[in-house]
Amino acid sequence: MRRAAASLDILGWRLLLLAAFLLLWEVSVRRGWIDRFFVSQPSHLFRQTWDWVASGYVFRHLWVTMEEMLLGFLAGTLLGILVGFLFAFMPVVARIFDPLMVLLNALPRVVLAPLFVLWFGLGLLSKVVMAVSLVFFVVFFSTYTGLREVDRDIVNNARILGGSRRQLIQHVYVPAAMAWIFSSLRTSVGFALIGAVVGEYLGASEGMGWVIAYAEAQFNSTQVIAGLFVLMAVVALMDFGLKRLEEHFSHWKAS
Amino acid sequence: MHTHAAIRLGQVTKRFALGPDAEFTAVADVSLEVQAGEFVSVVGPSGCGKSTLLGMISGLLPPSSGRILVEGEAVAGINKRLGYLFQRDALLPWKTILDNVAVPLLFRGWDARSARARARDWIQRVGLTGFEGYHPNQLSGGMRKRVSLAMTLVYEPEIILMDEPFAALDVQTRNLMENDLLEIWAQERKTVLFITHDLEEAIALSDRVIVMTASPGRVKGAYDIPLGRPRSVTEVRFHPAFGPLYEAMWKDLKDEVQISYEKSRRLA
Amino acid sequence: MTRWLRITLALAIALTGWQIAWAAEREKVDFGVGSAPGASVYIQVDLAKALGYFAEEGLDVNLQHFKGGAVAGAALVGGSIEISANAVDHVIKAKQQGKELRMIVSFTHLPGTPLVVNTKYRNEIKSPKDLRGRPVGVTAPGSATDLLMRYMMSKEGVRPEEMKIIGVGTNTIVPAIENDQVVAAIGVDPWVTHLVKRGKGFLLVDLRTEKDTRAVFGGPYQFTGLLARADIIERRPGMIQKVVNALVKANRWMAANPVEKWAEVLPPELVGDRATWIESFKASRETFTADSLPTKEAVMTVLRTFEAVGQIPNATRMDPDGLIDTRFVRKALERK
Repeated sequence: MRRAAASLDILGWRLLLLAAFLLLWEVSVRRGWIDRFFVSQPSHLFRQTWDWVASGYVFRHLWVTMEEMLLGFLAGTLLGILVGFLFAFMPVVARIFDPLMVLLNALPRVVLAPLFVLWFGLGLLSKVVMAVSLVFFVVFFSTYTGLREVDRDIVNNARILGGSRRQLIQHVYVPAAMAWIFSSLRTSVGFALIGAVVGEYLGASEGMGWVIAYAEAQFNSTQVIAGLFVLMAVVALMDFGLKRLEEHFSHWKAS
Repeated sequence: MHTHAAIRLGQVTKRFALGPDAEFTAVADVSLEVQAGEFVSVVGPSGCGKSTLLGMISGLLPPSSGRILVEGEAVAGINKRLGYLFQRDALLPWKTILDNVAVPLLFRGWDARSARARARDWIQRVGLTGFEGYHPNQLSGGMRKRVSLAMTLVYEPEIILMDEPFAALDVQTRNLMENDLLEIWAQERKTVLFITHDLEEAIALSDRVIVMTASPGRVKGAYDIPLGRPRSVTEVRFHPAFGPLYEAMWKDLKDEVQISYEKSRRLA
Repeated sequence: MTRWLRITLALAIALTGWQIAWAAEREKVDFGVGSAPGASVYIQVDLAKALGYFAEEGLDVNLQHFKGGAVAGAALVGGSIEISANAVDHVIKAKQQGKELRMIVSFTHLPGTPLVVNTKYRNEIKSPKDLRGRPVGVTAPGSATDLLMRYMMSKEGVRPEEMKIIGVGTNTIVPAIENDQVVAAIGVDPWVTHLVKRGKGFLLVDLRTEKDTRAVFGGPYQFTGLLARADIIERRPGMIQKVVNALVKANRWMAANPVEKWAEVLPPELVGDRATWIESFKASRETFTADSLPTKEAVMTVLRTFEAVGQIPNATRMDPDGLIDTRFVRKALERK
């Protein structure tokens, strides 16, 4: 009861701070303390977002971005888990490819983006690859770490209890790694979105990244910021959903 | 009743490599025998290689030299007919108590329904009825130990290795667990090799106690415990034979504990 | 010890004095170009630099090349560059957002950016309406070439949602077409000519010619020139005049000399393959504004285009006189 009240308090404070920030922003622009050209203003942003929603314009582009993001997210996650398991269970592979992984992960993906466009075209594929290139490493490293950090006693116990290699993977390794993988999923959703948007920003004919690039070319900061807000809302929503999913799958952790 | 040796160690030595040309001898030249149905304890100061001994018997660790026979067969790889109770509990935290206890049966190819039915049985026998749907982290240390015990007994291994299983429990819980263990043992008559650093616990539980030296661990002495069964671990301490037995063994153990203590102080 | 100190001190003083003198001699200008170096529509800038006209005016020009006009335009409005070689579109778009820019010199009064199509599609694509639903390239989303593309397609009845317009950059148009990432693109020379000459592309609409431009837009179309912020023009008219002088001189020199001569003057890395380069600039000659003056009429065409495409609904209500400033060019022309 007390905890519920406290969290309500926190929520209240957050909303209050947000309202204060928006108010300060609006007043500063109206009074001319800050140039509207660069930062737009909250009332314009709300109107712009409403117009987009009412006309359906934003959904058309959001759908494209979400499609790229989800494909990139799924492909990157599956690939990351797969390679993570490969590394964890085939130490030879891990020893050979470990430096390569570290090097590849160090590559600045945003700079690589134009190359991806060259290799995979200006369509869906280049954005998906971009998202995969970011998501893969997050998931791979957490899967690999998760598998390596499985409690030795638990593994030994399961072996003594009669578990075969396959059974150990099913009953011990996968569930143990799941916790790590889930915590990385929330990060990688954000990365998948970054991949898709950066890809669109660099070469596309639709999607939220294109909307933002187009608005920038019009010097329309309202649309740029409104576009960012829409993306923020999407990530917040997905994060919320994933958090619930994570709680559902790792309720055994809560005491 | 003691017809054959369930476990037989012949001059077993285990060395670990510490570096390119440094090694550490954990266990040196240990020979011992445990008869079928016997309850034997191994006592020794910390770091005397007691756990290493169990590791080798279970097949988790290969010995550097010497011979290990379990039920007359040389150990090669993990022996799935053994039970092993670890010092730290090694339950699967993501599974419920019921599923944890059922896991060894699933590993052995049982179908889920009969595995669970039997697991329920054993949960009842260790006194945890009502907790089937809980997760390990919702239970106390003592309760988790009971789950581990059920998990080990559920597939009816003939030999059970126990590595200081009650060391982390408070005294009251510990005595309760020890009594329950004795009760179950009396019904099942399994062979038990029990490791502890607590001399009282060893005497109270065992048919025989083996005292080991500080590292490298060697057998220093073996004592038969002529106390009757069934016993209560709390009452057996007041038995007139208990005091002299304790004193005799403590004389053996004292020097080793001293050595081990000095060693750890030097290292610190 | 003291002797060494004295010498060092004297040297230091002499050095700083020299530096101050040097700085006073040459006025620093941050100059942004809305394309990779060597673009035909901004060639005045490269020529003025190669011919030493900026230095003659006492300018120390710091040239920065941007990926497209839109980025350079944003930098101009944001103040990280002081003047920009760019399309007049950015003056109009900035005005729409309440910012005052001016075009003070005209480089080209025809778009100078042809619509080039991959040769593979010669039999399928006969006019801009055949580009419906296919990926087509412009330099950047929302840039001047984007506007041209939208207008040409919408004029033939293609609806906005049927357009797949992608930003492919300026010099990167070559791989974009060759790798079949876009079927067609509005591109900048000399890179378009490269494609055509190597048989990879053919021209569908040649906006480098008065004939094709008139057919599409009904008159001259103000394209590139020199842009500056209105407040900078008022604050630093001296600097602006010097830059304008140099560029007007470059325009004059271009009118007086054959294209072959241009290729001689420019650094070889900008020219590349000489024959192709000369061919492309010969084809572009009609686009260059010899008298350097942006005109009301040509700006009006751009405003009409913005309105027709729906990008700026009431664009034609803007006063073209408020978008251009010809005072500096006129003064420069009077000089000789």
